[in-house]
Amino acid sequence: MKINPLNFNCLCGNEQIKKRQKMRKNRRGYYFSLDAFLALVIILGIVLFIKPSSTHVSQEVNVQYDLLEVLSNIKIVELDNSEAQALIFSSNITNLNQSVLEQIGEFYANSDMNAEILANSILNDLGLDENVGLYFNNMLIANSNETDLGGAKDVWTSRQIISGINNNVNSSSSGFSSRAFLFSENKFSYFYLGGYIGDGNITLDLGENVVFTRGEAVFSGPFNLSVNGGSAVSYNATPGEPFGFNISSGFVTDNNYLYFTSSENLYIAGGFVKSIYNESQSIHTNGKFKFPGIKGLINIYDSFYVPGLLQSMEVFLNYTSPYNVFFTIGNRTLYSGNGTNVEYTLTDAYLRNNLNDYLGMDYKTIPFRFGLENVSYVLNLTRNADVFSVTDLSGSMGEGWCSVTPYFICNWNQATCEGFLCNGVWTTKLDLAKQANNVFIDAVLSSSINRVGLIGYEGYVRMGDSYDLSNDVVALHNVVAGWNDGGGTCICCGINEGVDRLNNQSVPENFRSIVVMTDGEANVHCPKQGVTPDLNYNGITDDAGDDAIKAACDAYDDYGIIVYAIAFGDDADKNTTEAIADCGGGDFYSGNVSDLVDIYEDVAEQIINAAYSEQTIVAQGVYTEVYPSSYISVDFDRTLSHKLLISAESPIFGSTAPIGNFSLPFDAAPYEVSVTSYSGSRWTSKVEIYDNNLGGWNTIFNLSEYGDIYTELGDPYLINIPLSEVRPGENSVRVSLGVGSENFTSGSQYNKIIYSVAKNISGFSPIVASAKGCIWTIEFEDGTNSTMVFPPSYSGTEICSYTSAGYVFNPNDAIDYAIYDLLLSLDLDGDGRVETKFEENELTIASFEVNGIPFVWETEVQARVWR
Amino acid sequence: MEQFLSIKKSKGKKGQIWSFDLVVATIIFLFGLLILFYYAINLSSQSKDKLDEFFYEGNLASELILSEVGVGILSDNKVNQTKLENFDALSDNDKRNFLGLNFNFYFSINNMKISGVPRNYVGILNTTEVDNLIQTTRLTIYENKPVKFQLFVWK
Repeated sequence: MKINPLNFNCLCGNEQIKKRQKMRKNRRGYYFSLDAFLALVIILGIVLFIKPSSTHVSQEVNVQYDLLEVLSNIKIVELDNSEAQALIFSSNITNLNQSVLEQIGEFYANSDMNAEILANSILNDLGLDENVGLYFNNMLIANSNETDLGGAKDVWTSRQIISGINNNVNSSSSGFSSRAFLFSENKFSYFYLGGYIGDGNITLDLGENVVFTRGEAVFSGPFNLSVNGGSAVSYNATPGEPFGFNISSGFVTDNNYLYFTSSENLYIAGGFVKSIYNESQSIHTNGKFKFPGIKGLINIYDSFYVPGLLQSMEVFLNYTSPYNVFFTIGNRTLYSGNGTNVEYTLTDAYLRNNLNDYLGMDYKTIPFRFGLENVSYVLNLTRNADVFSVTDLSGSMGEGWCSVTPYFICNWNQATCEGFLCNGVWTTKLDLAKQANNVFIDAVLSSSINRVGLIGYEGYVRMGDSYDLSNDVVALHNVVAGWNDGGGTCICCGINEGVDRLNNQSVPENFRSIVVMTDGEANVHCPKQGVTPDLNYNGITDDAGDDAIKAACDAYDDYGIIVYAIAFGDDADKNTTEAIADCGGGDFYSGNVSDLVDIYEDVAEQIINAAYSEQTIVAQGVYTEVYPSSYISVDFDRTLSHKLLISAESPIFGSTAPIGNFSLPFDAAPYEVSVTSYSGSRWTSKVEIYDNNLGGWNTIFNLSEYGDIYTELGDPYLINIPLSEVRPGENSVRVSLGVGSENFTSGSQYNKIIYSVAKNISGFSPIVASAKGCIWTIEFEDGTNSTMVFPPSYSGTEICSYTSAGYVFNPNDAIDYAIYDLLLSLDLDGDGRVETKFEENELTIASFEVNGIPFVWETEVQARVWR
Repeated sequence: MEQFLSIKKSKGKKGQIWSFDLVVATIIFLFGLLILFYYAINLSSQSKDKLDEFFYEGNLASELILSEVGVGILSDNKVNQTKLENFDALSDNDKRNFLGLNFNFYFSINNMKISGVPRNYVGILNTTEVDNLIQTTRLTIYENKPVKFQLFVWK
């Protein structure tokens, strides 16, 4: 019978029944606890009775140590091995007291195949289950394996150096020594492009007998490249980033031309073309700086270098222009004129007279400028950049994650993440947005003529989280620091507020833009946009997303304000965000949490570049041409070197520090050292080199020496460093950019050092056991590999290599040793890539047989075991 | 009216009891889960620790056997037949004690002979069930030949 507690009191007044009823009710209150307790007991039982044990069958690897020890501890005469006995019997083994390892080493040093036969025989007799290999100087001599070393997951290695003295009175007492040297060294030269070379189709005159060309340059966009009018190859270069190319065909023995063409106005904002010539090096005391040919609008910002005491100069200008062109060196205008196919020479006397008798030009990089005169649109003044960063502060920006996730609960919330169990760091989307905004503020305000404003929005614009246009970095950072998340997403509110503030606080002459970021979907309307069509094609008209797009369209169409849009995270409405950028005339960016800071950096760079557009000519229907026969010629005094020149390039500076490091070899005399500077639409304003003695930076180039208004000056791409400023070993160089004599910013991460040294190039070997040769694989600095046989008469199968992956050769072979020594001399930066390209027939080897002189041999032996 | 209030009070108490029960049960249940969680984390590391200890003892034993001191079977870096046979003649406990092993073991050498008779192994081989077995392979010199030396230790 079921008791109804509602009527139980009414029907029965019996105390005993009441008591029983109460007990029954209380017992019901322990049912869950009782079950859970029983479950806990079962769990504890499992934990207690099932011990953490399991059956393992494992093998320990020690064979690699023992193999070398065993082979060292047994004499060859004692060894019970059929191959060893046969070799002793045939007198191939004469020193019976040597250990087995020494005997194999001696065979190896003499390039005797018995090394492999004997070692393989011993390994086979061992019958090992493991993969085992015996290596001499990284060369496999014998192995006993089922799987290849290349596919090994684990490799155990044991090493030992063994050596011996070969003083046998018989035939093997002959040692060998070799010398290797290059009898021909190809000439190389660099054609430097800019500061800024434009605007139009560009032609480079590379000269005669070119065999190979490698270049890198910052192009304004996609371009076509052809050699000597042959078929053009299209390249899709990214503006702002150096684009590399190699050409090895299409060259002729006469003058060679490279043609860079594009349907758009092409320009090159710095770069170089290195050419290798089929002729020997010659070192002169004059230099001719050829102009690139330009068909379009003459607009060259460049420099030339005087590598010694300047004796005389000559400038030859060959151009066609219906408009006046001007030519300046430093800040002195030396020519102005116009005409068709004008050929004009600025003589040494004229130049000397106008350049203060060449005072202060020795050993210096001198900027020059060749452009169109009195054309107002050519020399636009620098535009200020005014930009509002419009940032989504809605509730979804509070989503976070833990830096470490050893347990799933670490990603639960900030408390668990930063608690004792996980000990991680909790990061939210908003944290990243703050970090990205700070980077953006710093980047845009690197020039004080720019201003940044902030707008924080959720379902509406938060006035307290917004800030007017300002160049006060600290104040802007403080506003960003105060942001917190919450609320809806009204993208159009943010854009409209940015437009209003730009209209009130800026002028249309400035470069005005808005960077709007969102991590979700717009869900709040703006009455200002009225009824909007389905602009994001989601099938719904007049939704909040459509309002956001319309707000961007209005900003661009009505006020010329460019709207950049960033979709942050997977939940962002990318269709709407992309449409905002499309209609706002800006660029669309999409990225996850790891990309946001980089994206803001990119946007900042784009805004800066767009604002500083003064180096670019924008004009229609104007045609001028400068011919590649134009040049600047300088004669100078300089001590000539009779050694061979080798050129090398340092790695790029990189983004972490605006400083480049390079190392000059101690056994070579520096001949020319230069730093490249990709200045973008700014000017290379200052170059400094670190003086270790004084512990400070020495200025070696300062554009401000020639004037404060940079638009009137050239812009060097290559700045030569006087040799008196460099020293063997490590050197550091710093490059600064600017748009005037103040407000410097760091140079490009793509800058590098190009240097050449004069050096005796030859390789020697000590007296060693043999002089047979090898088939060499050599990697050159341009990334190509060549296979060459040294000496050419060598018919064996030994493989040697000198590559960035490592060196393999037999040091007991005189020819191999000498070749290695030569390649080491040619590899200036020691990266395993030979700087100087040469052909097999340009390397000569001389070997000498030396009788009766004991010589040592040495080799490293390795035993490797792998699984 | 008073009676009605009393009924309402009783219903409220009953609800509290059930809620309290649920809370206690949840706590007990979570506690159980936590135990399992930590146990699962520590299980693999405990097993690895045990295996590492096993390897250590195995290596130590192989070093002692392939040495020239104590019960080691080498002389002049080669296996000494007399020492080998002396080792073989030791009792099981002595073998273990001299090698400092708490486990069963045996070793084999290619073409090994004891008293002129070919032998596959020297050591203690008296169990059929194996829980954790390690094999250490070394090389040594026996009868003027480099040979494989394998030591097996198991529990």
